[in-house]
Parts: sequence; structure tokens; C-alpha cells
Amino acid sequence: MNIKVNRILFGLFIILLHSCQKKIGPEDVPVTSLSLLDSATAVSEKVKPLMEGVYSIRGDISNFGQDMVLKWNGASLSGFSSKNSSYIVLKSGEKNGNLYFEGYWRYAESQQTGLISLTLEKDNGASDLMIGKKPASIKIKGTLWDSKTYFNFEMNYIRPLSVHSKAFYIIGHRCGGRNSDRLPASENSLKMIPLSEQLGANAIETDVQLTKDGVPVLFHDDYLSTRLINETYMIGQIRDYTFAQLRALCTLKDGQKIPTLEEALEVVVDKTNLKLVWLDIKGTDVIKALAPLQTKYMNRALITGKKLDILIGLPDETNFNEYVGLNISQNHPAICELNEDFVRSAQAGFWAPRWSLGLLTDRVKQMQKEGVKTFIWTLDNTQLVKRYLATDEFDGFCTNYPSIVAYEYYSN
Amino acid sequence: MNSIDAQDTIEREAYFVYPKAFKKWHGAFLAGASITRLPTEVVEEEISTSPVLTAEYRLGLPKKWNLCLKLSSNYISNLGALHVSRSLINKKFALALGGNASMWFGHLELQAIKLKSYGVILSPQLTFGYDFRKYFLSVAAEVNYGFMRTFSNEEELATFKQNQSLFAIKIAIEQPLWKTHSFLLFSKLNYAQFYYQSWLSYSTLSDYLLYPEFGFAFII
Repeated sequence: MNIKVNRILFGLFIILLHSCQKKIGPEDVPVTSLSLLDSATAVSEKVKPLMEGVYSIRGDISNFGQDMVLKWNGASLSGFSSKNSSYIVLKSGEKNGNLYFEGYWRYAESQQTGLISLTLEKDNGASDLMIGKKPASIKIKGTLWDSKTYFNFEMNYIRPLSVHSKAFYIIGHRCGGRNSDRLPASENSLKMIPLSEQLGANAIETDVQLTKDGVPVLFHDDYLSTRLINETYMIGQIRDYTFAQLRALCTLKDGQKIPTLEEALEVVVDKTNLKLVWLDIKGTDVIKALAPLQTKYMNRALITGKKLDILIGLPDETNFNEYVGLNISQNHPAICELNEDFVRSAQAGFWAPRWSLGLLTDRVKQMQKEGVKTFIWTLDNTQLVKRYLATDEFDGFCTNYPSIVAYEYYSN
Repeated sequence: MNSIDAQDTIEREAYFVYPKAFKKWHGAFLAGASITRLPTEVVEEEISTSPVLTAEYRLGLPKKWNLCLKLSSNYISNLGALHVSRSLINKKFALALGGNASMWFGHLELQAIKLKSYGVILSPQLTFGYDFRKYFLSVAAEVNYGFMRTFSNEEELATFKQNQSLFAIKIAIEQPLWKTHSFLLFSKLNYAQFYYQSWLSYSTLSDYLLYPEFGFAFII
């Protein structure tokens, strides 16, 4: 064949393969500069439960769908809607009898984002809320900016958040989402932990590996690569490096350092209201190293008046055998991804089948009869989330899109 | 025999992708393989390379219509397609307009995965090519519309619509070897929200990502 043509085709092939190497990573969200919150004071705790609910959306915007779930997380107000899997994260403040909110909106499934501000005026329900009284109606006026223009819209309270018969865990995968989900923080990072709550999670899953000198750190992949870190010269596995080396040489995609498990649990206990942490074990001999930290931080949470479950993940038979061999099930709760026989043998209180095994109706019911909670993983797609929620069987979903699960769970 | 003599013995229907019409009821069979790079934004690194074996049969119909049947498989993902086109220009520069109707079926049963999915893809396609004597160069463009349904343990889990889920450009070079037998090399750039070989990922991203594909085949 013509040599030139061969070269052109080969070149094209290399270009095509290279083009596929382009990575989607963490992306910044716009920082508000609207100054609505200047000199505002913190919103009273009385306001929050009364204000939470499902709101209809009216106005110039159609990209949020017809309704939105509004839910508080500490001083932050989050909104989750059905269309485009969009969500909003807002700072809050109280000034002159009105409530002000400003922050960013984002479509979870794409890169579109922008600023948003909301105002709840005293005559539209703020006055009643501030004295702890449920108003007859709540009307929130808002303005939303995209890259080109701005839109005015209005939200009206329709109904309270759905109340379900049992506790449900919305578990943020890799502390809240993967790098490819374009969140404003790296997966498995300290910043991602409080962000997961703003995205709708009330629990997190994270990945634990040991460094060469036995320090448990959060990291998902088997190998260091530019998917997770910035340094192209760092090759090999986490266990090839001491913790000091990793700290000195490695940064996550958003510039943070690879966190230790201890640092992460400190953030969970001290800076969030998360109810559960699922430690997904990567590699061998990890369980022995993290078990003392599990006890320490569950106790620390109890002292601060929080009920926090920290679960040792058993993803495979190797870790199952290690856990059983250590004979620690009494004081070290575990979550087992293997079948029910393994769950029973490990005396794990939690079972985590993959969603791709199907709805598992009878098997989940049986485990619940035996007092075992069942979390399905990793459920991201809106239709699948609806389908699995409709069964009303599972005790929680592990997801990269807590905002999607939160909307479906609280609005239906 | 020198190369010019060898060229003279080549019959001019030694092509498959090149859109010039075959003689009525003339057929050609193609067997080959391709490899597609699936983006790691939607699949795990371990399964980001997807090889597929392909067999196709092209038949010349009256009035410059073409019919092509295609089967491809890598066991997990299997596709059958019917392609109908009409050659509108039949000179050295050739052009055909047509479309594919494809059905694909995916299945995987492992300890933690028991899934079956099937889907339908409809794709209008425009192909043009040029006969350079020593080889045929063809470029095909297509857009995909479709849907997919997913089941586990015979229970339906979801149906996904996939409108304009893929835009693709394929560049193919066919070199005649002897008689009507040829060797085909192609690069295909799929720019897709959904690509059937990555059906197991159930990605939530709505971005269009690149799925480069490279293949070869023998036309028998």
C-alpha cells in the first residue's frame, strides 16, 4: 500500500487514541460576588425545618424542571431538581427581617454552572419562619445567571419533604462523587466530605489503602496516574511510597494532598452531620491498621452527641478472611459485598450487593428479617434510581450523584 | 509480473466501503476485526479497550441500490445491522446515501453482575469515496438514534432513549490484492453520548466523548 497513506492512517490512529486521553476532572464553581450576605447574620435554627420542602418553580427558566427539593445542611441551603439533574448550593444569611441566599447552580450531568441568588422577604413567609411559625405560604424570589444572561424566577412551597418509614442512607461514592463528575473538589479528598452533604448525601463511601509505612490513606485506583494526581513523574502504587513521600510529592487533581484516613474521619466527626462512613478496603492487611481508628472516631462522635457508624468494607474473600481471622466483628461493624452466606459468617450488619444483580426483592427482605441493612451500589442513573427507590426495600444507595437520589427520595 | 501488470489484473469491484454500486446481484464478503478505545470517564480502565470481530456481506441490487448485512461480536456485546443505500454518483468520485437499522444485544453474568441489555440503533449515513486506482479512499458520516432496555433476572430495570447519541466519521482505505479481494484499513472517530460497546457503564454523563475505533478486514 502507498506508504504515505499508511503513515497518514497510522498518524490519524495515534491522534484519535490520544484525543481519548483527555480527562474530565474536578471543576471550579463560580464564586459569588453579589454581596447580598454582607453584614447578614446566621439564619436561626428555627427557620430550617419549617422551610425545608418541595417547591414549585415558575419564571423564565425551564432548565430546572417544575419543582425543587430544598434542604438545609448546617448554614448551607441546597436544592435538588429533576431536570438536567440540576442542583444549587447556597450560603445563607438573615438581614432586615429577610432571608438571603447566594451561591451556585449546576447541572450534575454536564459542565454548565452559574451564580444564583434567592431572597425570602418578610412578607413572603420570612417573618413567620423567624419566630418558628409555619407560614401559610412561602415564596422565594430568585435570579440565576448563566454565562450569557440572567433569569428571574420564583419558588413556591408545595409540600414537606417525603417522610419514609425507615432511615435511608444516601451514600456519596468516593466521598461524594468521582473526578469525572466535575465536582469542585477531588474524589476521596477532605474538601469533598462536607461538600457531599451539600450535594444531598448523609453518608459517604471512601477507599482506603496503606502506604509503604502502613499509614491508611484515601485513594481509589490501583496505580498512581494523572486521573487522580497532577504529577506525571509519580508512578507505581500507593504502597510503593511512604506517607512522607506521598505528602511531599503528590497532589490531587484540585491541588489538595492525599488525605489520611484519620484526617478524613476528623472532618466527618467535627465538620459534618454524616451518619455513616463506608471504608472500602483496597489491598491486604488494611483492616488491622484501620480498626483502631474506627473505634476512636465512633467513640469521638458519641462524645459529641452524634451517632456515627463507621463500617469496614469487605469487598472480596481476602478481606473477608482477614476480618474473620481477626475476630473483631463484635466491636468493629462491617459491610460485606459478597453474598448473604458471607454476610452471616462475618456477622456483618450490612450487606452491599451491586445494583447489577437486579432488584433482589426476596433476598433483601430476608436479610432485613435477619437485622441486616442493605445498601445497593453504585446507582447513578436517574431511571435506575427511580426503579430501585420504587421497591422501597433498600436501606441506602451508594451513588456518584447524591443530588439525583436526594431529589427522588425527598420529593416522592 | 511488475506492479503495473498486477494492477491491471485487478477487477474494479475490489472494494466494500467505497460507495460505488456493485453490479446487480454481485456480492462481496468481508471479515475483520476492530478495536475501540472506550473513555475512562464512563468505563473502568481495565475494560477501556473493546475488540470486536466483524463479518459483513454486501450485495448489489438493481438501480444502484446496495444492501449490506453486518454481524459483529465480542461475546459481551453483539450487533446485527442491515444497511441499505443508493449510490447517487458512480464515477471515480462516488457517493451513496443510506441508513443502518441495527439491533444489539449485551449480556454479562458474573458474581456481581447479572445484566442483559438490548438496543435498537437507527443511523442515516452518507458515504463518499474516490478511486485512486491503487486504492479506494472512502469517508462515511453517520448519526445514531436509538434506545436501550436493561434487564436483570428477567426483570426490566430501565429503558433509555438515545437520541442523536453518536456522530461518527469513518475513513477507510481499501487496497485491492488480487481479483476482487482487498485489504481494508479504517479509522472511525465516534463522538458519542452512548456507544453500544460501553453499554455496561450506564454512564450518567451527558457529554459527548470520543470513542476512537481502528480496524482492518479482508474482502473475500
